[in-house]
Amino acid sequence: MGGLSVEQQGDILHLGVDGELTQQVVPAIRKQCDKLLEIGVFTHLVVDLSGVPFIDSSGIGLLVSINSRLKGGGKHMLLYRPSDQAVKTLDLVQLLDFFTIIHTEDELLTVVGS
Amino acid sequence: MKQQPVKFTFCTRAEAQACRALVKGIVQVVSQWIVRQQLLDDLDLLLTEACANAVRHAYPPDSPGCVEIAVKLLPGKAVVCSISDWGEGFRQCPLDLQKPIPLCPPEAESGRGLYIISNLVDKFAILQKDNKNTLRVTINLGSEAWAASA
Repeated sequence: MGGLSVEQQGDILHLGVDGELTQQVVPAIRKQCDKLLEIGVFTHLVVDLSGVPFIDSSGIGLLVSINSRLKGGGKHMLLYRPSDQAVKTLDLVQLLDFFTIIHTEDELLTVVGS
Repeated sequence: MKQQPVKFTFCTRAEAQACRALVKGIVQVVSQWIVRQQLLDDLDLLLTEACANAVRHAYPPDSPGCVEIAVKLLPGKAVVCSISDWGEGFRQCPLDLQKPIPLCPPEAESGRGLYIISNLVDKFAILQKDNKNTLRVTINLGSEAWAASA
C-alpha cells in the first residue's frame, strides 16, 4: 500500500499519490486529504497520479469529492500524469472532460501560470 | 484439436485488501491463456469492481463473509466470471436488467461500479439461488486473444 507526498510551491499544492487508488486505501487517503484541504492555503491542487498504476470507482469517487470541495472554495484541481489505465477508466465513466488533466510539465506550467 | 474449458474457483473474505490481492492473482493466472493485455486490464477492473460491491454491500461491516470468484475460460470463445456472496447484496438493491445500467452524474462520489462492469462485458446477469447471490459476466473473445497453446 502506498501513500501521499505533499509539497507546496507558492500557491500550488502538489499532492503525490503512490500506489493503487482503490477501495482499500481511499478512506485513509480521504482523511489525510481532508486535513490538508482544511489547513492549506493554495489556489491550485495538483494531484500527481504518475505513481498510481490502477484506479477503480472508489478512487474516482475520491477525486470527484476533492474536486467538488475545491470548486466550492474557488480553488482548482488538476490531475497530473494519470496512467493509461486511469485515463481509460476515467473515459469509461465519461469524466475525462470533468477534470482538468495535464500530461506534461510544460502543460502544467502553462495552466497554473495562467 | 478442440480445447477444453478451464475452470478456477477462488474464495476469500469480503475485505478490500483480500479481494484486491485475489483479483490480481486471478489476472495473473488468466494471463497464461489470454494474451490481449486490454482484456486482462478489463478483467482486473471488472473483478475489482464486483468484489468492491460485495465488500461494501453483502455483509455487515464487522462480519465479512465469503466472496467467491469463479472463472471459466472457453478457449477461442469467451471468458465467463461469476462473483458470488452469501449476504444481502442485491436483495437490498434490486436491479432492472431490462434496461442499461445508468451512469451517475459526474458530481456523484459513488455509484459507478455496476456501470463500469456492464460496459466491459458482453453479457451481464444477476442470479440468486438459496442464499447465494451471483453476478455473472461474459466477455466474448475471438481466437486472436488467446495464447497459441490455449
